[in-house]
Formats: sequence, structure tokens, C-alpha cells
Amino acid sequence: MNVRGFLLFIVSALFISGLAQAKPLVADLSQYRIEIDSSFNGTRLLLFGSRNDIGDIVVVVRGPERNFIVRRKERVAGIWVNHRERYFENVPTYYALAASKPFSELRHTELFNSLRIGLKQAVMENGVGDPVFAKALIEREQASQLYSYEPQKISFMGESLFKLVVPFPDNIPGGDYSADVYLFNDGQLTGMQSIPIHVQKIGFDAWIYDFAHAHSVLYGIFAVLLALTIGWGASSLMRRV
Amino acid sequence: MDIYLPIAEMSVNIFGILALGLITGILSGMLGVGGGFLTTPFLMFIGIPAPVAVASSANQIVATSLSGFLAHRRRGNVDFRMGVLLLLGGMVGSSAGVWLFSLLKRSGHIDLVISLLYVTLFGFIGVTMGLESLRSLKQTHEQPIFTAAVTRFVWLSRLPLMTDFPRSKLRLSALLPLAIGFCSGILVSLLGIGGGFFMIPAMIYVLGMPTSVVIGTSLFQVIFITANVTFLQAISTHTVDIILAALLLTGSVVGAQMGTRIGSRLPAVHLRGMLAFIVLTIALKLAFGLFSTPDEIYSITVDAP
Repeated sequence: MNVRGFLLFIVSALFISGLAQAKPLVADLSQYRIEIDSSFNGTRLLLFGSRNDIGDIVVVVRGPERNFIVRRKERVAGIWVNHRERYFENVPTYYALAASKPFSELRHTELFNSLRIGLKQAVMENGVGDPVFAKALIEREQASQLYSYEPQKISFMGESLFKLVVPFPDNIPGGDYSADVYLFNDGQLTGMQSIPIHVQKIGFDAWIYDFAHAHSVLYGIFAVLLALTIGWGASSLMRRV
Repeated sequence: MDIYLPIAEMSVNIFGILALGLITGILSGMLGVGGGFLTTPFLMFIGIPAPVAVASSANQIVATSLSGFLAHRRRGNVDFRMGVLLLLGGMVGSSAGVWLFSLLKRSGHIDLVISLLYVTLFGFIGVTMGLESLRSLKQTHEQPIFTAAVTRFVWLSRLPLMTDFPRSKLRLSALLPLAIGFCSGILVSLLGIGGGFFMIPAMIYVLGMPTSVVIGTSLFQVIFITANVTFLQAISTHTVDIILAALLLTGSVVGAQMGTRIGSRLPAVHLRGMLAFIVLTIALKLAFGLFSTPDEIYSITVDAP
């Protein structure tokens, strides 16, 4: 965390704790927007807040949801072939989980399923899905650092002020994210706050990607014309040489 | 120095891609082949997703085939009547191929099918070409080893739609070039190769066309087919990476000039033997990948929204 971030944290935290006696939980982020250009190699955001009630803090940061297909290769006549496949619907493309207590020591309730707290809950909507394929999906996402599970990373200053550094690797997809902060007291949800984060790809690369998807006809024509121009140019150059 | 490919969504070494373009350019200048057969597998080896590799190298071949075609047209080595028929078949074939491609991409078998087709086609062509160049090395004089299928199989000359091809000095059924064009169209869209690999032998050994007009006529057809494939891939699978194609192009344009000069100094038999060796190596490498245990048993794809 840089100095500016830390000062921001102190000032805001003091401000929040003074202002928010009435609310059981208040939290904020150092930044609501992440811009990805071609030189982006990951960033970290500071989440900070205050609890004004007893209980455990759980933080979940989620990326935009997509449908995933997980395929399993099997040997068919000596050749490795994609054989069985499973669909996972509305799975977050980014998922970071942290808590103020080891995750296993928290009292798990039905709420964890409906709020999708936990890595399994993240990929299996309402607990639906093949657990073996779900495990493969989670492992892959963890390997690419898009899923992280770091209990006890939340640190406290005194009883109420807390902070957490949320890592975003360089391969995060663009879209609308949210940082959801929960306060649990003995299995009961006593406070909650959701902070939106917008991740946007910027620059020439992002422009090309958007253009190729939004105006694919023009993009296709342009790709062909570009090749024809270079091909014709090369030929007339060669003629002169 | 790395450059980010917006459609492939990964970074590649800019000089690596330029070098790949240069090498394919040299080979296409030397041997008169499009070079797509080399680009696509190599792009796949360095980790570019197969669909992006295929679509982007089709885009590259538009340029290389146009500049090759213009050179052959200046020498009058193009049979336009034959070319148009090959083209008609090719348009249908390549459109069907792109449709097949997106179907296979959805079902998750596209990478496997691409590898299998490469291994089969390259294995066959590599072995035939290798044997032929060995044989002609022994004979010292280059003689046609095969007689054209149209003269060997009588039924081929009894098909309807008999047409005259004055430039090639042939009279045969229009259905034959249409069928050859169709097959090459499918290969272009599935493999990202120009199709010359399949079409040139087919034109010589099936139609019995004179060797002098074969390359120019094939290039004429390839320009339109690869342009069609590029366009259809861009609108259906969104896999044409324009940055990747532009890099490959830059390299191959320079390479083609160097290749033409080297090619004119080397005997054709050596060239063909070299080509056979390269093709067989690629086939073996891909075959090895099919049979060896993959690092990852599970593959994960994001379903199109």
C-alpha cells in the first residue's frame, strides 16, 4: 500500500467511525475504477471500514458473471479427446474472499449459499453442479489468480477499524465488479455494504477488441482491405526493385 | 519486446512473430506455396488459440496470394476460366467450412479436428512429395511420375458440363474444378492454409493442367477464398486478430522477396525435398501432441453470451 492510500485510509476511517455510529457496518474503497491498458500488470485496492457492532467481517469481491463450460479430456483410441462437459452458469470471472476469522471457524448458514460466500458457492449457483468439475474450475481460476481465498487477511486497528488489500492480477476481465462487505454475528447477517468497482480496458487494443465484436462486418471488410493493400503494395514494390 | 494481441488476448514477442512471417515469406517465395501451412501450426505451438491462429493466418494469406498472383499474371500464367470455376466451388466450400468451424468450436472439438486434419493431410503430402523427390533425384531428369486421373479414369471424362479450357489446353467437365475448389475451401476455413497445398497437386494429378499455369491459377482462387474466410470468421467467430495478421504480413512481404531470389538458384528437386521434410516434421509434432498425456485434463471455455 502506498503512502497516499494509507493516509486516505486513516482519514476516512476516522471520519467514518465518527459519522457512522448508527450503522453497524461502514466500508469504502480507495478507488472505484480500474483502467487496463497494454502496460497494465495488476493493481491493488485498499478496502477499509468500521464495524460498530460485534461480529465477524466477511469480504467478497466479485467480477462480472459468465457461463463456463468445463470439458474433461479422455483417451479415445489412444487420442486425447474432450469427452464429458459440464455447464456452470452465472459464475463470477473474478472472486476474492477474505474474512476476519478462519473461514472454517465461521458459523456456516444457508445465507452463505444464497449470498454465494465461499469458492464452491461462487461456481455452483444454489449448490447446483458437478462437484468434481467445479473443483477443476476453481483450481484453474486460482492458478490464474482470478480466484483468491485468503482468510484473516483483514487486519484491525483497535476493535472497530479494519482494512484489507484486494489484489487484482493483470488478466482481470473488464466489466462491473462489486466489493461486498458483510457483518455476521453468530450466523446472523447484521450489516452489509456493497461498493461498485468499474474495470475498463482502455487504449488501442481495447478499441480493436470492442470494434471487432460490435462492428464485426466493418472489421471483417477492413481486415480484408488491409491485407489486399499490403499485398498489392508489396507486389508493386517488388516490381520496381 | 512484447506486443498485446487484442483478439487472442495474450502477449507475444513482436520479433518472434515477425521472424515467423519472414520464414513463411521466404518459403512461399522459394516454393510457391502460401505459407499458411507453416504459420498456423507455429502460432498454435506458441500458445495462440487455434481458432485465432487459423482465422488470422487466412487474413495473412489474402495479402501473400494477391502479390504472388500479380507476379504470375504479368507472365500470363493464369487460366482464368479454370480459376473462376475453382473459385465458385471454393466459395461454397469455404462458407460451409466456416459454418462447420463454429459448430466444432461450440462442441469443443475444434482443436482436435484441426490437429487431426493437419496430421492426415501433411503426413500424406509429406510422404508422397518426399518419395517423389527421392525418385527424381535418382532419375536425374524430372519426369512426370503420375498420369493425370482424367486420362486414367474414363468415367471422369464422361461427366456432364464438358468445357474447353484454352489456356490449359484441356477439355473436361466443369464439375471437376468445382469439386476441387469446394474441398480446398473447406480446408482453408478449417486449417487456415491457402489451399494451394491441396489444390496444386489436385490440378496437376487430377485435372492434368500444365505446371506453368497451376500456381498462378491457384493463387487467383486463393485470394478470394481467404478473403471470404477472413470476412466470415470476423463476423461469426470474432477470431481474426488484425494485429497478429499485420505483423505476419510485414515479415512475409520482406521474406517473399528474399525467397524468390534464393529459389531461383536452387534446383526444384531439393526444394521439394526440403518442403517434404518440413511438412513431415510438423505432422509428427502434431501427432505427438494428440497421443501424449496433456498437462491439463480439464479445459475451460467461457460460453458465448
